Amino acid sequence: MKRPDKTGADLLRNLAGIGLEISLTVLIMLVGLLIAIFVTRGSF
Amino acid sequence: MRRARIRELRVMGYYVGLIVVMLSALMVIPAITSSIQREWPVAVDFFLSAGLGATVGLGLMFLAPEGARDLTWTQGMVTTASAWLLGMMVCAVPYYLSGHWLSFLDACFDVMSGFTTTGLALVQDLDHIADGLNMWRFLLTWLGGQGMVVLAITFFVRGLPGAFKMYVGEGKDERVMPNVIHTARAIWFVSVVYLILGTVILTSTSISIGQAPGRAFLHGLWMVMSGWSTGGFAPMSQGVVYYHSLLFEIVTVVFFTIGSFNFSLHWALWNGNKKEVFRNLEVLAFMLTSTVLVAISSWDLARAGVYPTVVTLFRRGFYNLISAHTTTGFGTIYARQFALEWGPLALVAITIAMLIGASASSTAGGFKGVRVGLVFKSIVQDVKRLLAPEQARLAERFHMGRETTLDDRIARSAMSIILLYIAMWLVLILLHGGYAARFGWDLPSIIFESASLTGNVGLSAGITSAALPSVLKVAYLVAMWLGRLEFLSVFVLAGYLLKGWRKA
Repeated sequence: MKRPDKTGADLLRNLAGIGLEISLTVLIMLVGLLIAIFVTRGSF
Repeated sequence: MRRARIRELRVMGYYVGLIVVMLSALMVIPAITSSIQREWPVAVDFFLSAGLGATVGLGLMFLAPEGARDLTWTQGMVTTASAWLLGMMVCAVPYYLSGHWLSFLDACFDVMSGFTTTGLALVQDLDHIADGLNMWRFLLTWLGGQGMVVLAITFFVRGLPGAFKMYVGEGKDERVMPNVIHTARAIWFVSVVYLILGTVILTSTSISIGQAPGRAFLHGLWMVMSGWSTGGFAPMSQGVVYYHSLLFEIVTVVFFTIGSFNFSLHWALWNGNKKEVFRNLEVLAFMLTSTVLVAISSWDLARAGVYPTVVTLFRRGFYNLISAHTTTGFGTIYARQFALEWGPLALVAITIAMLIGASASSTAGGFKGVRVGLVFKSIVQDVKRLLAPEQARLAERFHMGRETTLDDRIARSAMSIILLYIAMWLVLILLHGGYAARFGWDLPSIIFESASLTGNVGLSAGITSAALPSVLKVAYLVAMWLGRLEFLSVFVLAGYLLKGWRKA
C-alpha cells in the first residue's frame, strides 16, 4: 500500500494535481465570463 | 430471540457511543478558541456540553461489554443514521446554552444544517456571537463535509470490523483506495491540505481588503471550512456580500468548486492520473450542465436588465449559479432578491442546478451529476438497442476512475435515487403550500426553498427563519438528513424501528 505523503516525487505529483484542479475551476470561471461578455454584448 | 436483539442493540450502541464521544472531544477546539478570546461563559458551556456528551457516549459504550463486533449491512446503516441523530443532539447543547438559538429544536436544526453542509441557519444575532460558537459552527460543517463516520474511521474506529458498512451508510459508496481506513485517511489528507492552502490564501485576501490580521485569519479559516465543505455558513449575516470584494468571491469559487469534486477524482489527479479529468463522467456532466445553466440564467438576467454589465453579471449571476450547482449556498445577493429580481427562466435554471448538485462521494449534495449522466446514457443505450438488429449486443460504458459497463442494475439504482430526491422536493413544496397563505409565500419562492433543502444547498428565497412553524422545522431537518445520507440508511433505520415495534 502506497502512503499518501511518502516521497518528494509524491509531493510533486500532489502539487501538480492541485494545480490541475485549480485550473479546472479557472476554466469554469472563464466560460462564465465569456458567457457574461456575450450576453451583455461586452458592456462593462 | 429477545436476548439476541438486545445484544445487537448494544453492539450498534457501542459504535454510536464512540462517535458521540469523538464529537464531544472535538468541543475542546471551540472551548480553547473561546478561552483565547476570553469568552469565559461560552468556554464553560463547551466544557459542560463535552462532559455531558462524553457521559452519554461512554455510557452507550459500557453497555456493550464485549466491545466492537462486526456489523451486518442493516446494523451498519442503522448505526450511521442513529449516530447522526444522537450526534446532532449532543452538538446542539452548546448552541442552546448560548442563548443565540430560540429553542433546542432551532439549535438541532443548525447542527443538522452544518453536518449536512446545507447552510440554512436559524441563529439569532449572528453578527455578535462568540468566536467559539462560530468555530463550532464551521467545524461541524467541515466535519460533515467529509463525514462523521469517515472521521471516526480515520482516528477512532481503526481496525474495528464494522467500519466499511458504516462508511457506505454515510452516502459514500466508493473506495478511493482498496482499504476503507486508507480511503478515510486519503479523504482527510486531501481535506487538510486544502484547508491549509485555502486558509493562507483567504487570510491574505481578507487582509488585502482591510481586515485586521487576527480577524482575517478566523474569517479565512471559517470561509474555507464552509466553502470546501460546500456548506454555505458565513460568519456574518450578510454572507459573502459582507466582504464586497471580487477577489474574495473568485477565491471562494475556486475552493467550493474543488470541494464539490469526487474524492476519487482528487486522489487520481493527486497521484499523476491527469487523463482522469478529461474522461471522468462526473466532470464532463458538471462542465456540460454548468455551462448550459449559466448560459440560460445569464441570458435571462441580461435580457431583463437585472445585471446589465459583464462584471455584475459574473459576480451576481455566475457566482450564485455555481454556488447552487456545487450545493454550497454562498450568496452574493440578499435572499429576497432571488424572488424579486430574478426572472422565471433564471430561477428555473438555478433550481435545476440545486437539484442536480455536484459529485457523488464528495462534500456536495443533490442527486449528483453522475446519476444524470448514467440515466442519459441508459436512455441512449435503449434507443440504440431499438435501432440495432435484434441479434446485436450493445453495451454502453462510462468512466469514473475505471471503465465500467452500464448495466440495468446501475441505471435502475441511479433512476431510483433521482426519483426519491424529486419526490422529497415535491413533498416539501406541498408542505410549504399548506402554510403559504399564512406567511405570504409565493410559489417561485416555495419551489426555490424546497430545491435548496432537497439538494443540501442553503441558498434561501427568504422563507427559512426562526419564525417557521415547528412542523416545518422538523420537516427541513429530516429532509437535510435524508438528502445527505442519500435516503438508504435513514430508510433502513425507519424499517428497523418499525420491525422492532411490531415484534414488541
